[in-house]
Amino acid sequence: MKVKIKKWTGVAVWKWTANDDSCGICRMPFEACCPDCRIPGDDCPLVWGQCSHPFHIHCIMKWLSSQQMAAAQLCPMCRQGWRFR
Amino acid sequence: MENMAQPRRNVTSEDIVSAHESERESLLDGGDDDDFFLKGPAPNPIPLAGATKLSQVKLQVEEVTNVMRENVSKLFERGDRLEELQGTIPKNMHRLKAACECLGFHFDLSWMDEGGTSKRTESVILNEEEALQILKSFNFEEAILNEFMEDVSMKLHNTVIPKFWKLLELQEASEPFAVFCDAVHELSSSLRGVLARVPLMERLRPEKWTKCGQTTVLGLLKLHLKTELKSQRPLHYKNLLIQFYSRAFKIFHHRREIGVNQELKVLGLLECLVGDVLTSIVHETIQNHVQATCKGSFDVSHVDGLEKWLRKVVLDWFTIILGNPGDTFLETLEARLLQFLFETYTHTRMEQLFTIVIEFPESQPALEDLKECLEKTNLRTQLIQSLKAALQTRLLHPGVNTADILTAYISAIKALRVLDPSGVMLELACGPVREYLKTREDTVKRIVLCLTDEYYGDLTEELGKVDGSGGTRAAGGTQGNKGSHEPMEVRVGDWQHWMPDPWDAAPPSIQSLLPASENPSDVYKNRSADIVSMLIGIYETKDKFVTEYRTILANRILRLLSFESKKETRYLELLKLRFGESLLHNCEVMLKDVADSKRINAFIHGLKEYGMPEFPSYPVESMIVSDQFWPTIREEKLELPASVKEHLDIYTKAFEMLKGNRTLHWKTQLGIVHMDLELEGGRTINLMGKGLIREVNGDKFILVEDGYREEKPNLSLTTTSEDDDEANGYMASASDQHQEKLQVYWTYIMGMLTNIESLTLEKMHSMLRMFTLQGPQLEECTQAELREFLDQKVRNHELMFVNGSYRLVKKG
Repeated sequence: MKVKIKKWTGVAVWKWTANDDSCGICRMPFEACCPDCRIPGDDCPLVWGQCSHPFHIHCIMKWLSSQQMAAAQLCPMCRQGWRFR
Repeated sequence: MENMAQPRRNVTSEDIVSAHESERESLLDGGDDDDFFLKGPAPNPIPLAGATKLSQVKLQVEEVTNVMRENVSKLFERGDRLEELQGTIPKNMHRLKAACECLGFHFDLSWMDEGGTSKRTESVILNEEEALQILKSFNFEEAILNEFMEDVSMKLHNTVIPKFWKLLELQEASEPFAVFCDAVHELSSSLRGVLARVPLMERLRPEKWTKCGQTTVLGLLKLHLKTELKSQRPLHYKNLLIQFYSRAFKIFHHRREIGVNQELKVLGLLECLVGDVLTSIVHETIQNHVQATCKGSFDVSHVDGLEKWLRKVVLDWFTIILGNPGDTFLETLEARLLQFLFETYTHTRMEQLFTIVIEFPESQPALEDLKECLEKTNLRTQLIQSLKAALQTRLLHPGVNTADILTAYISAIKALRVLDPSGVMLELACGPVREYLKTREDTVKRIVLCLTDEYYGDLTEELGKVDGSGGTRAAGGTQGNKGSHEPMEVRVGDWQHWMPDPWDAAPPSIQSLLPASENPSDVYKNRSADIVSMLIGIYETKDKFVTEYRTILANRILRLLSFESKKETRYLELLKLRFGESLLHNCEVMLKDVADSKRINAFIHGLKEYGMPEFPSYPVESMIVSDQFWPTIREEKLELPASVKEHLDIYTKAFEMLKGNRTLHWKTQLGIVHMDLELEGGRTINLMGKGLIREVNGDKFILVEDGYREEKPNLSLTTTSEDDDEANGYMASASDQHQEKLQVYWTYIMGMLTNIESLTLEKMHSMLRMFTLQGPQLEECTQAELREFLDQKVRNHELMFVNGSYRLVKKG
């Protein structure tokens, strides 16, 4: 007996390829969205800093805009200067 | 003479006077006595004393003489009169007697004749008029009337009535119809003579005459008749009458029987003798007719027909029996019978109400009938109670599955709306149903299934129906219950048609009356809510429904894997109107995942020229799921063949290319495989991978799903079997999740058993409780749950159950 597969329809869960589970700012899992968003994934993507720390883009933008001086924009995790990777 | 009557008496002034007289008499009589003053005192007092005594006797004699004289004169006087009288008596007596005889009374007047003063003249023939005159002139009316009544009573008591009952009783076994007729004829004819004399008596009757509350002789006579009749009636006389009139009703155009009724009516007996029999027969007839008419047919309105029947058949019959009793009488009778008809109808329908409710859309006419009748009768409470009881006994027990209870409840909502638009009746009758549904575990699931799947009922339509009115609701805001003020506003605008709640409505809760309350119109809302709201209202919170819907939706998507979200999106939109958007956010993301997956699949397959990798032998599609928003997917380890893995990896790579920084984790136990099975015979069968295939020695196979079997049923091995039931779908069910929690205990149990070797269930439970108190992460679990968990471990050969205690399976 031979089995010939014609089509495979599977189920998969998508994940961010990050070395952490949840956003350090909103404490939500990366696969969820930030508190201001409703749809995860493309609508609420992650960004990585030079320091390799990822955050929800909306979270980090909010954080950065709350910092008074552009020079003092630091990563909330490691206190290094924040720069998008 | 007076003195003689009173022998002993005191001296009175009269005596003194009379004494003076007698003294004077004696003085006058004593002629020889000289004047006292001239002669001086009498020389001898003794002769004086003797003279006094004599005069006394003389006086008494005198007195007697006087009285006698008087008496004699009186006697003479009377004698004259008596003579006169003796002349007249015989003449008058004769006239009186003649008068009496003329009226049919025979008094014994012979004592008059014995007096013999005058000869009996030849009998005087008088006409009635004269006789009446004579009797009146003698003030004899009363006596004659009394005599008449006495006479009649005796006759009734001794002959007529006993005969009547005897006639009835004797022939009880034979033809009742004839018996009754004969008896009545007999009664009537024996009373004919008496009745004939009544008009004369009537004329004899004085102007203001009352006896036993009757003012006419006829009335009195009838009263006597009734009394006698009733006092002598036998025990079972009713049977006969019932038989008679039942038959009479069947052939009520029968002439002879009318005669009987007429005779009874003349005697004034109709009412008293057969009144209650008639009533009971008519009632029975109505009951039978109503029951026969209403039996099992709910789709036709019967009230009008029944009313017509009553007027035409029953009332006509009454008219015939009662002769022409007058319009007012008939009107009251009709009203009474109609009332009875309505009550009977309501009672009949009440018994069937459960069935009526279940068959709702078809039974609408019956319900409208019932509504009409309820307005006329006072049976509302009884109706509610009876329906409540029927629901309790026929629906609310473990033998009925939840779906059926729900269907019945939905029917009840619809049906009772017809009966009572205010919804109070529904609230009262279906309270227990709601309470009971709350205790069923799968209620929520059933409701959600009903709401979102045409297969399970017509509620999807219902969900859609609210679209119009509900649309404005949700437009107000994301909060679903914000729109609940709306019914109140409608009420305010519609105040002219406002009706107070029925009396049996539950009072509005205090909370809803407080102005600060969030939903002042909660009570109204609940009563006038549509079916879906009623169902959702069974539970206090909407969360349960949303959670359940999420699970059902997830199962549905993963089962079909069709990437078609249109239908579900529509339901989701409708549900959002109900539950509010925020609660259904997860589901929204889930449906978006479906749409996204479809797009990604198209991308990966359609854009090969843009560097997408090719699948070597078959295409792979995937449902890409946002894990955080889906219910927990049951974890199951399934190692896929290497070639399949390869294909999946290609897909993953493509995805990673498409979406930077993201990757896929495959749920290998889920999915659909399209494949061909090539068998030795050269036949190729196209199968869905999910199908249950059982292979039988060599090239024979059995497709279990279709129930198809080859002749040789010696099954050697089972290749695949998968749980296809949606109820036990791919999502981790609540009990599974609980099992996971229990898994936490497992390490504790292992530790305990390693140290102590074997433990009973009770001991283990109490020890675990001790740990639970210390560690907040452990949830309380009951002994039963623990036992279940441990038994499962025993089945998995991780534990042994020996002599009532558990122990670890020794390795090796």
